Amino acid sequence: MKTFFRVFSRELGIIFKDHSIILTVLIAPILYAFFLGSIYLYKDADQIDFAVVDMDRTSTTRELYRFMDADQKIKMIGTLGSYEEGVDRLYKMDIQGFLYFPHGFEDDIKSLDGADVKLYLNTTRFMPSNDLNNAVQQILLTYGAGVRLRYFEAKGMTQATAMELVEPLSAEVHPIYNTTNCYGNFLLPGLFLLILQQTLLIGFGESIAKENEKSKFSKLFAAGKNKLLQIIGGKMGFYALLYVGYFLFFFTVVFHAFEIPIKGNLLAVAFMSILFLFSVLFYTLFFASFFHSQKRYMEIIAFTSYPLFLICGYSWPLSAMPLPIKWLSHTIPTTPFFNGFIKLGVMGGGWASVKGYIFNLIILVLLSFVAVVWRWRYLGKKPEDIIRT
Amino acid sequence: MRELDRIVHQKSTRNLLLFIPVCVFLLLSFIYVKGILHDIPVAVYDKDNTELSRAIVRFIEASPETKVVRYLDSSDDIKNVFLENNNIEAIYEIPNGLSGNVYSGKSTKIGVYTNSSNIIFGNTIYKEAEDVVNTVNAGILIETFMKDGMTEDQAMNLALPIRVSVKPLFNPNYNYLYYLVPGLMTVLLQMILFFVTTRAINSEFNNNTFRDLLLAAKGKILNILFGKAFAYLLMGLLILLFIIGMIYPLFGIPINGNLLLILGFFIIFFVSVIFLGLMLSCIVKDEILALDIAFFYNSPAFVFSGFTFPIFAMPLFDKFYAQFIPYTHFLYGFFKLFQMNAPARYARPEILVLLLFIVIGFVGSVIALGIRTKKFLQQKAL
Repeated sequence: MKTFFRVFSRELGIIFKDHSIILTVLIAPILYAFFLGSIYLYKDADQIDFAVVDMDRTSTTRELYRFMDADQKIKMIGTLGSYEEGVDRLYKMDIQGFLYFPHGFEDDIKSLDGADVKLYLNTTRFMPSNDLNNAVQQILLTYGAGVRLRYFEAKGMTQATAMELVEPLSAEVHPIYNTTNCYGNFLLPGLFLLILQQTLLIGFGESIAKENEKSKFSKLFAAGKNKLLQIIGGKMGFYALLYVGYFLFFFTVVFHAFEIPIKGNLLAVAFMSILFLFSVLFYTLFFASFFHSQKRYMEIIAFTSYPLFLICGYSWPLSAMPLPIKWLSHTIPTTPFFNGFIKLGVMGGGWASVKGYIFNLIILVLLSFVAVVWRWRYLGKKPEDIIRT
Repeated sequence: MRELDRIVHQKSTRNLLLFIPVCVFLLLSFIYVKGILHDIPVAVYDKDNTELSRAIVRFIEASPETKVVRYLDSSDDIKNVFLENNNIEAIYEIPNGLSGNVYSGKSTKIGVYTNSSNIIFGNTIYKEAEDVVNTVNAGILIETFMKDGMTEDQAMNLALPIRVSVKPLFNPNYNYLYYLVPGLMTVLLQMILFFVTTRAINSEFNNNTFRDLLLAAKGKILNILFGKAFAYLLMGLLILLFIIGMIYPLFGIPINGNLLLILGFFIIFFVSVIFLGLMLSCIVKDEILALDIAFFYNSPAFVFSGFTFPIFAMPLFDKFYAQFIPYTHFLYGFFKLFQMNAPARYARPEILVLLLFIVIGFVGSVIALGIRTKKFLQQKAL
């Protein structure tokens, strides 16, 4: 144990003498969590700028305008004079879409000829265009149901009977696990876990690359009296403790602050988090040891955030990725942990729902540990030679 | 030429300018190669089991967006289906008595449960479920109206009094490859250029090569800045050539706009990023600290830009902060010129802001480098 504590305290010395590691592992996790998390504070996008091109100018089109204006998702910015003006406002990105009422729209409805409208959407970004599409279509369907209601009432039916007939069948959509289907609730858990992963990967890796850069591996092994497991344990001990603390803090304070409940088996969440933490530590011990410059390590690893997040299937489903990418995704701890966390934390599952992910994580922990022992034994044997290379 | 030589011989810049674009850009494109989600696995629980309910199931089966992978029965607990089956993203529950209700004039609801822990699935299935049910609904109404003596046309027009023709402009199929990959690559391009320029000046001092640099620039700060900026601009353009000339054709990503306009806009963007990076490099002597700042500034650029989550939905502080990142302004110009094929005048506001970034970066660099050069020369004189 003495050896372990010697390496452990030596690591503390490295951390507190290096402002970059301090910034990355001691300040960045909390700062990023609130700084980036705040983007999604309102969770969803409402009041999307929208307009109508009204060539009909009748009471029906004005009524539909008012219905749209009253919708939470839509912010009507006005009535435009022509299709060209609509396109002009789209190009300026003042509006995200517009609805075109042709001449004779009201007459076509009243004479039961069926009226046509065109809904133009700016699909350069999916979220506003999807929301507008759903909201406008719903309003027009409801209006259509109103037309049928008047027809049935005109035939002498009571309002109650007519109401039953206007829409014999409807879909009642229940978004489970994210009841408002909002973007913030979907993204934030993944974002928070990614912040923990990336700060650990960068901060801890910087310390290892720095040892390599400053030719200090021999000193590390000397401090650890060549006892490999104690050297590895001492080197990563502080980060392991710190990030256990972070996981606790994130799950209890940060998730709570952003109103994201953790619904599932907490013990399973804790167990998966520990497995994930150790797999990231071992991966870092292995990969960072190949870098001979702290700066180069940082530059390269800084670019892994997006690929790691996107490849794990959190935002774009794994089932839609090509086979080699799927295989690759299962070799990184992000994939089983993030997906397992959704099952546990978001969907409220228990051990049984994540056994596959836990198995995947255990395999990764074991394999990465073997790789670390192999690599670091090599580093310990001839540190001077390594330094020269 | 001196800077180009440095770029070629420095491992760091080589990594950033070669390794990252080739590996990361290709990987990102492969992730989204499918572009559109088809055959989303869904389950159906037909409690009614009548001709009408089976017709609804056939409609669900016929939808290209979804694929029925399981038929549930009374032994299944709907609450646990998503947890127990990794491959089911939605459940259609057709209630008992549906057929009887519909034909006796009672409105009935079909339950659609979506696994919205992933909103991509949630949104797609929501739309699909509405489409399927509305189609069946229209069919029932048409039948009812025709029984009342209407012609088929009249019945159709009353079943659907307003027909909506949706025109999704610029990305008509909602293809995620066309939507996300150009944005991701351009934000990483900003990060690459910022990172390399962040170490372009301070490393000269730290490696004791500043004197050589000063000599090569004939003692003129402007020569140093323009020389370096030009070299990095060339690198940026080479990466852009790789993106537009190789990755886009390889993955079939369309370029809707005028290439020359797009190129010009990219040059303005690159120059703004390069001068901001150079300014940081002139101000912060410690290369790692400069990299830390560059990382903190650049890594959230994508989420702040409003690409996936619109800026208007962000709190005031975030809206404000987003304006200080060149990528935010680039993105809107990029949408206009690249995806919308809008005339150049529409990108004027974004171009003006990027020019402002250039002025700030350039003036900041000149002042900071001037001070550091003066100090350097004073130290040498001593």
